[in-house]
Amino acid sequence: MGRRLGAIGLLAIGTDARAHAFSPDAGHFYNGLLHAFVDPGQILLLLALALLAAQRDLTVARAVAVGVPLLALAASLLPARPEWLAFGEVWVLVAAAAVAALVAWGRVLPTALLQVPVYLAALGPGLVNGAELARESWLIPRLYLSGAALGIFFLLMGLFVLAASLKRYFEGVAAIGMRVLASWVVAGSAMLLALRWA
Amino acid sequence: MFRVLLLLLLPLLLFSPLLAQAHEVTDMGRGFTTGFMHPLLGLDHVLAMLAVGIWGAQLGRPAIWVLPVTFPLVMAAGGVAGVLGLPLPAVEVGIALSAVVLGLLVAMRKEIPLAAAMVVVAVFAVCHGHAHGTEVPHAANPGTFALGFVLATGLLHTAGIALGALNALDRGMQVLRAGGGVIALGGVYYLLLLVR
Repeated sequence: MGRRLGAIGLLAIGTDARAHAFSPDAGHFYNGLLHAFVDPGQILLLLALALLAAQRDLTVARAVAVGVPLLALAASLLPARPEWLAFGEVWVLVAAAAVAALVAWGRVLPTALLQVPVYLAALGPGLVNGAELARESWLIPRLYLSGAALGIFFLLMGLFVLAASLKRYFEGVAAIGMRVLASWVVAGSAMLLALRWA
Repeated sequence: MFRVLLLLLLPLLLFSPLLAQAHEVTDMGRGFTTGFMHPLLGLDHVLAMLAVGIWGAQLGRPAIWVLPVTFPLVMAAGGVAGVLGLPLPAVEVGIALSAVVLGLLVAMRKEIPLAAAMVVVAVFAVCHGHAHGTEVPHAANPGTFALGFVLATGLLHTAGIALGALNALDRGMQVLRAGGGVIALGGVYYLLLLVR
């Protein structure tokens, strides 16, 4: 047991961490893939959507899991201009605040009605990625955008599975926790929005 | 025992890279850390946040979650005002008063209507939000600073709610009420510092 633990420990000791890619073009894909993970606005939006999916029924969860990455990809394929980036970022933050407010509110609403903000929210990351692509003309579009859509999907699903699992095993507490967390998302989004005009 | 200790300490090795050259976004971590520590390093903030959580737990459902939801929502409004440089008079007095009032409410185990409790929490939330918000534009990464302080504030509420679980224990209620008294005294201390 001790030796096994020692071996695992050796693996964890890092020296230089130089990131190697199997192909020089893979960087374009990773650039897109990581975008959702390093953009605070997108993190907040995807967290809010994941919480909404875990809080509501299967139809809403399906709209979030399937509809959001696909719609984001579709929106990013629209012809965009670099100056649209700011508009896309504001869209993302407003959508994050709106979706999170729905979670914090917790009111039972018709499923069809709930899908509207979900799909509108999905356009935000798409607009951002499209404008980013227009600004950074050196990026290879098909690699960057496929990475970006996958990044959105992975982060969304990771957060959704976590929230849904917590809800399943700690039903009452998790339901309250999700609403509280959603209020933090609203607060965070509002602050990031304010910073744009500070 | 040794093995358990080893097992617990091993994950720490994961945090020991000498160089990590795969990052392209700078200052995110520093901004987040500074923002996260901002409410934790101000004892007046800590006292008031804990009091919100404890008071919510004392009042029971739905206040136990309504108050910690109300606070960040309204705090964001104060934070936005702070970020935009809109003046709010006597912010520090409001923060110190929040510890006094919320501490006293915990000490007296005061039960008031939910709407009134929300108003009390909301008024003080504006002051706390404004104080954090004015710091945001000066941060290494203002965006992650804002996220850090929102998260830390929420976690302090959670800690307060967890402390509120003492209510269920023998003499737990007395301990909490005494804690409320200590919080109120802390608030008085900060008020006196402002007056000096």
